[in-house]
Amino acid sequence: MQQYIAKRILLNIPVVLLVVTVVFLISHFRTDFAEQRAAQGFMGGMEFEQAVAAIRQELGTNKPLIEQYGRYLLDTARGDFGTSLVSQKPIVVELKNRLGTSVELGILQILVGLVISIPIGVISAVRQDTWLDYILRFFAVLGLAIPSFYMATLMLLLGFNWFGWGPPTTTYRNFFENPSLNLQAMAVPALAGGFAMGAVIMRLLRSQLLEVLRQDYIRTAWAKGLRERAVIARHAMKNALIPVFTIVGLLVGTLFGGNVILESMFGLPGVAQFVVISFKQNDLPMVQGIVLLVGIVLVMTNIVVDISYAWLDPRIRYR
Amino acid sequence: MATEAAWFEQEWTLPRRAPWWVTARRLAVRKPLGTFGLLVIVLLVVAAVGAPVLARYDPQQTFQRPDPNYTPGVFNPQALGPTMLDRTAEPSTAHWFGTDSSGRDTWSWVIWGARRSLGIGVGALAISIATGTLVGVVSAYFGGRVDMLLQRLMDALQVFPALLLLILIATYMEPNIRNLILALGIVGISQVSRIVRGTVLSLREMPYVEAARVLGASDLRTMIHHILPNTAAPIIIVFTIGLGSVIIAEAGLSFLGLTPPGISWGQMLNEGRNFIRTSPWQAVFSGLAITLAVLAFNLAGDALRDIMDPRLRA
Amino acid sequence: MRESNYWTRLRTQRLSRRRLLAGAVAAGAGAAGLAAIGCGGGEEGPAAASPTAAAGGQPTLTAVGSRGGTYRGFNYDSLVLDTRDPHQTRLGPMYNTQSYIFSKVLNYFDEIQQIMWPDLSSDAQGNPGMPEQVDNLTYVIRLRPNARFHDTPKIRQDWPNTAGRPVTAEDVRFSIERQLNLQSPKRALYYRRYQWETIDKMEVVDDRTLRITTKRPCSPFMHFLADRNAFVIPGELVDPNTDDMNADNKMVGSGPFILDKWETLQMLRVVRNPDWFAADDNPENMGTGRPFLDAVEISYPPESDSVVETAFKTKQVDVAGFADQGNTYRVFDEVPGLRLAEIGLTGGLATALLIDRPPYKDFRVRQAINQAQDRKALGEQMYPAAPGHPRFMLSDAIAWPIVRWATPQEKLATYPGYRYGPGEREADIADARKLFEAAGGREGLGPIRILFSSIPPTIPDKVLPQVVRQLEQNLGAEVQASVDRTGYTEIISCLSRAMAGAPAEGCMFTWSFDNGFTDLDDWNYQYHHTGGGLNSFGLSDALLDQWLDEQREEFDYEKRREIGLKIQDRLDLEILPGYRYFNEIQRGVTRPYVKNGRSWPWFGVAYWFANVWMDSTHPDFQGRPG
Repeated sequence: MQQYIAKRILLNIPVVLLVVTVVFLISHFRTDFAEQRAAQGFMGGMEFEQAVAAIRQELGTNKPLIEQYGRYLLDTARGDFGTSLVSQKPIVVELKNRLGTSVELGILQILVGLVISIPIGVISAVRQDTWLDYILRFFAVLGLAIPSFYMATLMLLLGFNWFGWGPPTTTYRNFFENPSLNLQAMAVPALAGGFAMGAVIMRLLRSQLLEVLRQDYIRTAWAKGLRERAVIARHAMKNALIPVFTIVGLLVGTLFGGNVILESMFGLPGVAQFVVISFKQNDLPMVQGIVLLVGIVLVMTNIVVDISYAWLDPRIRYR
Repeated sequence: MATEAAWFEQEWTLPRRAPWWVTARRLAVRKPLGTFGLLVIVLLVVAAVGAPVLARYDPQQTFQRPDPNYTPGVFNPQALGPTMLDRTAEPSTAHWFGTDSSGRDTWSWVIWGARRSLGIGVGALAISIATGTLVGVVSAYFGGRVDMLLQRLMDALQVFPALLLLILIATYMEPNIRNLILALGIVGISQVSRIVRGTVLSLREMPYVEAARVLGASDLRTMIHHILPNTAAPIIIVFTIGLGSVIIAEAGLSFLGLTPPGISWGQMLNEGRNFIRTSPWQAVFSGLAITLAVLAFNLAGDALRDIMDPRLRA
Repeated sequence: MRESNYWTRLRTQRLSRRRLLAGAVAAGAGAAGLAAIGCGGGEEGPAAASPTAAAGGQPTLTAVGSRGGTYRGFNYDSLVLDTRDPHQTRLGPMYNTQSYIFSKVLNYFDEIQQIMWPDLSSDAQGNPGMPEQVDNLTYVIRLRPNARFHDTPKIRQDWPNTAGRPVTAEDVRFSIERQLNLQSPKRALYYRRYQWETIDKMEVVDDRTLRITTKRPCSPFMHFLADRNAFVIPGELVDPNTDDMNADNKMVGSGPFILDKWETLQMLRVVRNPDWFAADDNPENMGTGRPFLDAVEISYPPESDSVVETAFKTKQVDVAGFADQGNTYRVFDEVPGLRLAEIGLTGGLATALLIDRPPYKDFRVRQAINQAQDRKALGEQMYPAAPGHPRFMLSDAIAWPIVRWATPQEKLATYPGYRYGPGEREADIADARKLFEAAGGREGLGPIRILFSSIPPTIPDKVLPQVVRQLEQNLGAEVQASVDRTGYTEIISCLSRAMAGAPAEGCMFTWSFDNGFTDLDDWNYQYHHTGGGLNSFGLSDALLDQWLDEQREEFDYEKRREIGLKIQDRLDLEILPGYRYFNEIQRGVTRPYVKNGRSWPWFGVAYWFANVWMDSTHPDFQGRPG
């Protein structure tokens, strides 16, 4: 196990390096365009050319690419992910308050996804190739096909027409300040996003369960006369859930910035909304910084997920 | 009795292949969802290709209807002429899907939108598949250091939530169609390479590959002649399902306003959602188009997967 | 000598005009008129849709009943696009934010009729009063004796020398003079400088008295004191090196509200200033102890009408405007007792041509394009109307809501490009084609290149395709449209190269959005006077210059208006340095318990919230979340 952990960490160090490089390459692909964009908000009384020159100074794009790359790596290693052109504050400060919101939304979506997908996935697998299976699979694919923002709009309409309810949208309160208001604000985006997530999980669960159900030890259980429910719950689920667990781990990606559209639409002050805001304000370092930060955090999350996977399923360690 | 001919004297006929309509019927029965998907895909392609003919009007053309506030001879600065913009009109014989919030024909927009969605989708996937296959094959075939490096690169690409990466690209690069296709293509590379690599890895051990090597075939020849053709199946599957994701991604980007202006389902949806209570046609039909397209590709891809490679059954 | 001044000023100041576009981000989504409040008082139902919709329809003012409460709405007040500095920003919603906090010498009670009320200004006895106009060159401004800058524990901690100190004549002088400082690194941002350049000298007579002498008789001078960013700021908070006051905690003024919370792009919250100098003035017998509200909370608008609607119906906000005005009317029908507010906005689309070089040097070309464009169709695209409720009216050089100065609608409807009578549009188009051919046509003139701003997004999305179609079909021209993806930066940089003499094909014809103005002088002087700081057309017309100077010195309203109409006619019919199109009729719904609300044609009027109160005894107030 130790060896496995060490191996995973070692393997991922180049990944982190590559993540930084990918972000660097994209953001230095066309410096002139980027400079122009950033300069627009930076102008504060200067001529445009002056503003561009000032931006060059500020962002350091007048230096050779290699030198910029080096500094970028160093900065990242030190934990400096960039400073906002608009507020002059470092990105970590800006994100501090927003992280909680995004994480909360992500967790709620995963919960919704699991609650939807597990029963449906199980039923669909157990009643494979029946009409029930087809219908459920159809709805699962529908969940993937309907854009989440579309579903959110429809849910809002339904919510108001049927229940006379609307989400609180004026001042966002975080969960610890006012749980009721907070959950109401998150309800629709959580459901809309969770639905899509549920569809993904359901399909995977179904296929994993099908594979498990064909295994010999399941047949043994049947032969022993165990009831269906017991077979599934005690034997099949445990093994089918392991790969599902890794998918959920990967879906953690949405915790950190995947909910761009839903957060913007509902005015939730999360990390993803901040990306859009920064984009609209031409605050380029912020956009770059968030993507980089999210990338690095997700690599670390993947390591954790891999390790937990190995801990849950001993076969993995020796692959 | 020897009147019956011996078995080796009887006429032999090879089993005939069933006529195509029989195959189609069998397919429809065995894989109803997939068939449905396929039909929708055909419709979409027809729409995209035949847009100039099938769209009844120029999509940018606006329509007018009589203005009830207008009185000839009486000056009314708010009703200057006899007609006014025919916006958000209900579906009718003149406008099958009604008109949108700017007085344009919704049906024409949906048809032309298919062209963009499919065009961008195919373009992006072409990039993903070409690059991803190259990476996957090279990675799997050569193994070792090359494999490690390439796979780490793929990991690095895949770790980002797609929309974030797309926003990053949209921020730093000019928002035109070419860059959009490039961006969507890049985001898909890692997944393709993973699948291709897996397939190639398993194929590498196949006896016929060994045989070819023994016979003296070079690496390149082996790759091209023996391995690549067999990756076709998973690639086709990736193509169909991937097209669905790209369409949604493009719609999402249009929704956020990050795509170049033009006729796109995502943009229709974005415009239409504010009018959804009074006149939902724009939003409903564009949302339906997106949903249907993605649905079709996913269902067809699923069915294809079931047929071609039962091991990959979802 | 003058030549180099001209070019220097043009290059640095012409930026200013385009910076106005920064305000467009919000204006396009159209919550400007509801910047303050919707209707209140005794009106029921919508104001009659008439050309004077902007002028009339304001509610009667009522005496305060219940006090307190937090007023909530959606607007862009929390948006920061360029700077927070009160004299340097061009963003409309920022004027709102600042007008809660800072005072001016005068404030507008009615912008359309240009009725001003004193703010800091007092008479010799210290009671509210207008500045004294000694003669047609000299003004004496006296300040209220108890006017003080905000005083809270936080302000005392940050700026101990400013908190609670009296507002002095020196502050007024400083606020004006910084805008005239040509050595300042921010000199290009003071785009009201043209107003203060009319001043010859300022003399601080004593702590509360300032004597101003203008160079020449200046009829709009009082207006200048009441204009949007004529704020009086505490000079010590300005950073002397960068010459700006661009920080949240520097928003310390003497106005009716104190800044409480400012989360960019999220929300803005201001709380009542208990020590406001004008608290007990009791104008129009509305009551003493102003402001009547405890706080005002403005949240950043969600990008979805459905979300706004649910927020409004559940009384989480007290006023609402929608992207689709069909929703406005539907909500108005569905919820009983609401007020529907209607106001014409003064900010609108504007195009500019470089007329000092081909091809637009040829008047025929300008006229042809003018007539080929279908303004009504463009307006219908930019401002889609709810059925039965048109949403715009055509404007020329001065937006139609400014009824005191703008060309009357009946007259405007006879101008080429504005005519929609039977057969008139066809005649205009035929005429346009002839003019275009005569000037060289498609072969001779080459493609028409137009650069569109991308703010607000309705310009590239809706207007651009229609403009292209109209010019192609009506003129037979070849049109190349491009979009300034950065908003307006490309336009500025292109224009600045043009002014420096470099070829500037890309921006000879630009399309963008402009802030709204109040006075005749604002609409015309800077833009069209030779050497005017916002004269990016390259326009120099002696007759126009003469009239522009004349109107500045004409104190009689009727005569001044005549000159103004002459100016507009010359621009519309004989020069056409650019085109104007239409201005929006903006509508919104308000809850009936909101009293004393007024609708305004542009941002910068949040000081009016001092007079607003919410009637907690009103039946509709029940169920309103606290």
